[in-house]
Amino acid sequence: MRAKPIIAAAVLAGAALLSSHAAWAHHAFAAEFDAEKPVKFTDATVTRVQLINPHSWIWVDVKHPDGRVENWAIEAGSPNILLRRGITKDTLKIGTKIVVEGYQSKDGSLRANGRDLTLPDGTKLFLGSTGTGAPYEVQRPGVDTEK
Amino acid sequence: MRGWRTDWTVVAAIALLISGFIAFLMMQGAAPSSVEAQGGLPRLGGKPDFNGIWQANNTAYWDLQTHEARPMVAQPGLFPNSVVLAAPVVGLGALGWVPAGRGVVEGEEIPYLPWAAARKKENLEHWLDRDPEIKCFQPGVPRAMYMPHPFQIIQSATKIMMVFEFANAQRTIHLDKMDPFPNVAFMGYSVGRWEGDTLVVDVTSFTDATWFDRSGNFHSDALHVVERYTPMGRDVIRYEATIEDPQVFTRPWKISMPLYRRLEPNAQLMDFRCVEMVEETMYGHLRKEQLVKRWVGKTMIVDVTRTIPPGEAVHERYISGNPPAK
Amino acid sequence: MGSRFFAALTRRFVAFLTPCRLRRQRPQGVQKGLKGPVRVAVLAAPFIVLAGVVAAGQKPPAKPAPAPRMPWGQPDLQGTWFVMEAVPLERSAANAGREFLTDEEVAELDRRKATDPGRNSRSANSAQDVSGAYNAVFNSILKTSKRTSMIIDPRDGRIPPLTPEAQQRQGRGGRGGRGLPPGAGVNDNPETTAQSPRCLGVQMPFLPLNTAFAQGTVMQIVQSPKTVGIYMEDDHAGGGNRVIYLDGRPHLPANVRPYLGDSIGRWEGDTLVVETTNFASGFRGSNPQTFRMIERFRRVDASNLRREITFDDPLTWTRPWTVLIEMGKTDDRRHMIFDSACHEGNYGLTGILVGARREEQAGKK
Repeated sequence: MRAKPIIAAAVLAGAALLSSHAAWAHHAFAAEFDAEKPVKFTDATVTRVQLINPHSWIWVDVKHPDGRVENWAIEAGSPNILLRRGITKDTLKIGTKIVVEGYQSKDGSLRANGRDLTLPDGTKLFLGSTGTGAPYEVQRPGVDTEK
Repeated sequence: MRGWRTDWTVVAAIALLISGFIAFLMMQGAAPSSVEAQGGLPRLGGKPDFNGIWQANNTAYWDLQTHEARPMVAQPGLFPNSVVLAAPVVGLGALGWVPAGRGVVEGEEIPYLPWAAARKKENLEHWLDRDPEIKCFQPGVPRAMYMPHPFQIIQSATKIMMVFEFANAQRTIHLDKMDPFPNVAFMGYSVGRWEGDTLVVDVTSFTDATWFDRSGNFHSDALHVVERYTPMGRDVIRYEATIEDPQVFTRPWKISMPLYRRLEPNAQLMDFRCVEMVEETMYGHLRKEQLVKRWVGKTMIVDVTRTIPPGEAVHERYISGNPPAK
Repeated sequence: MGSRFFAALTRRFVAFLTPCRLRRQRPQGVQKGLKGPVRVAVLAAPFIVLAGVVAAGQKPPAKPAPAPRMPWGQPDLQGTWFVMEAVPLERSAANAGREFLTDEEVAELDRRKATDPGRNSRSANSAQDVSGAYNAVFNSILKTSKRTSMIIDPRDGRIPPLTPEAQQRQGRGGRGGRGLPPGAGVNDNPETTAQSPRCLGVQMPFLPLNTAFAQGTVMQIVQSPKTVGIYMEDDHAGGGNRVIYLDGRPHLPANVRPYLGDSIGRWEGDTLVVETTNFASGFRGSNPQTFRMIERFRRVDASNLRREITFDDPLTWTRPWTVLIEMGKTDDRRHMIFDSACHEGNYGLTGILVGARREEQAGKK
């Protein structure tokens, strides 16, 4: 079909747009968090949520296999986009169990970036938060809508 | 003689004149504010027009309560019950002293719960480390209203936006109906309505991180403020704020003060973008190599040592105004 | 009946203005009750006022979904406005000569965006994985616009060539970013850290250049007869609050150079024209002394706002160039814009610096 090369060209042109949103380089977290200190907390209970800029923070009580409980601060993304979609400061309830995968801070404190935040069943945190929807956004299955 | 009153053309002309005059008056009511209506108050859509640049003129930003002059940072003086400027400010001389002032608190007392009264004392003692204004944090409400910087009121029929010279902070008062606010904010969330000529504003959804002044007066995230703005003439607003926070105070209490219009023809907000200004203060101890080390004056040499607090303490950005966890 | 009425009135009016004629008509010398100039005023006034009322009350003819007006007559620009579609700044070479994509191309791009896992995809390379935070839910992916460039002038959708002087000035590469002090590392000081936000506030011209993080895409306008306030949300720069003066004042003196420049506006018909000068730094490496920005805001209809920005610096570009940013609004009752408060929550800056210091102490660097 003759239209295909044009579509392809436009798609290539659009690739610049796509790459800007997938840019690993935007958040240079290698500077704050240590790529050599990955953490995975499968038993983390939410104790406090701060939806703030530039990054939200979720405090969790982490129960270690040896029974110790430590309170960790987990860094997440900016909340403003979530707030537009209907998330509130009370959406993630105190006492919720979550799973945190991330990297510990370089200074060794009990802080980590929440590279991947899920519920115990694997559902991403804040998934499908487009209840009310921001109508100008592309709806991504498994991100903006339930899969 | 046929009286002019019975000549229908004249009657019609006069009727037109009267109706035209009424229409003229109605147009004036809808026009942009300049002057007029009752008492010479500028009006916008029938309501007092607060558009313009305003500023308080008192020492509430230092201390809400009546106070004598005192050092910004104090240490014991030579004699018992005497104080002198402490090291961080000793070079400033008279400029290092807080000016005296009468308080803006009705009844003079701020009714703290016992734990909170102790916290306020600590805040005052550790003012340099704790005051969020020093860190260029947004000042919150009501503190933004009496900072020693002007602010701009931009008023329409549905929204009132206030832009503050300090830190380029801003708050928007919603006069129209809005859904519930989903988060908290340094400047809170403001909903307003008119009661006659008084603007009444209900402010909620605060963080626990702002103060009321430079004397350590603070609140928790349960803070609720009700403001009243009443014109006292073209160029003065009577500002009142009732403060309620059951986690910190035994009862609501109230402050009040005039806000004065900045009348200079060239009045304009200038930049006071203090985030960059405070980088050395807030992060200087984390530089690889200390930048500010030594200052030599005529009679004084100041040597500065920076230190990194150990462990988690280095990450602490503010002291919460919430009660201590049980 | 009406025309006879006005004809009679006019006759009477003319009669009052010409006493001789009047005397001829009324030999008894009967004068009407009102005398001379007062007579003229009384009869002239309703015509004048009526004409004024009619003229002032003139409204534009009703259109479908018309742009609303403030009670005092100016167009109403108020609201929370969104960039609703992603548009690149410049037209790509692949799209040369085409101002618009086809519907099929837009649909294909949107399909790809919807299925791109974005930040949900992890990397086996942990250094990359760390940098990839966070989950894709924190990003906003805008639908693709049919427009191939924000730039509408020049017609090729590209930034005009630099002047020779500008090429020399910017020859060092980058856009006039500060270099590191000699011998310094990137995380030695807060001013140069690798983390992008020092939270110094969003810069003019508030362009939507990073739509995934919604930077430059959400704007609030509050409007009064003589001032307009614009708040631009930017969670990673700290937002920005502009005050635009419409009272005809002159610009600030040349030695005052605010971060957001100095904005003076005026209405030209239904368009708000805002000129901003006195910049502290020039957009895209332009010369702050000669750079100026002219915006044109127009409320197209109830749901759409047009914002054109012309960038002008004869010392940098061979000609001025103009972008178009089309904005729309959603439900006014919902809270769709939030404070930025970036500096207050900037734990990351401390984290980066203290992390670097601890690593140095541990001998890792």
